[in-house]
Amino acid sequence: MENQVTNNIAFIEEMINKTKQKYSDSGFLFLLWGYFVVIAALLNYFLLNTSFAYPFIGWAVLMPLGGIISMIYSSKENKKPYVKTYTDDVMKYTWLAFGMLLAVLLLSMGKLGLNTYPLVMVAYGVPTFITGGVLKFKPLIYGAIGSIVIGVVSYNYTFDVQLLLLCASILVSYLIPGHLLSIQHKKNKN
Amino acid sequence: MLKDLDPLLHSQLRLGIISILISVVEADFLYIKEKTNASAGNISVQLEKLSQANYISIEKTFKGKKPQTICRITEQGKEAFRRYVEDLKSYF
Repeated sequence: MENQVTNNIAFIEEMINKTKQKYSDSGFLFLLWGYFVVIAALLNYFLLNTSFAYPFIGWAVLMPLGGIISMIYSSKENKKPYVKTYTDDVMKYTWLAFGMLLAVLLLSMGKLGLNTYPLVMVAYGVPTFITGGVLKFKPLIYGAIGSIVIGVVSYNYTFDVQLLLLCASILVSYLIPGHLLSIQHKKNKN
Repeated sequence: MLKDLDPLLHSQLRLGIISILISVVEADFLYIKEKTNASAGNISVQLEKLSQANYISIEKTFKGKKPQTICRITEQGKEAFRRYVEDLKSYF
């Protein structure tokens, strides 16, 4: 009997642990958006120094494209077995709140002027910090702090330099954690 | 004194289903199948038993055009699981 009891406790633990394996595969969207934002910002930076009439072209093309790819990716994910964890709820409302704040900041660009990008970087650090804490994934926590620090520093610079600092912020808070998540996912698979 | 274990939870598949559902808000049939590695028929039978005991609630819905069965643990189910784990501990 005692053997069976031990087996059952081990089995309960095994089942509960299986429900914790979900977040290791969320690196794709982090990387997609990370690279798109970096490419758009760098393109913006280089086109500012040319006579090209639309230096913001990268944002206009890549952001909608990113949205479409994200939707296709999410619809494929939807075909997978469905589970909603308590963490999902926290993440959903945290990022929804950030989405609303981001929309307000971008819509207020006219009034905020040069303060827009620094505020975006600082604001972005908050949901990233929470995500890192909830997932117990330290690179995201460090990346969030990095994004906030870079955001604060970038208040003192002109728009073109802010674009480069935005790339640095994305590198530490998106790309590095995104690649580390991917590596962790591959390890978990093996 | 050794306690009688809840017979409804003392079957490995039902215990597995409840262990999964206690850790999440809700999960569909496919998720439970993937995590337990049990056959669809067996899972259906065990879900029905757990539902009849009011340990879980089952919602039949659609995901696009495909039918989807979403399961959630009830308060009664949480209490039964908590008691079951307590009873297991009394064996040590």
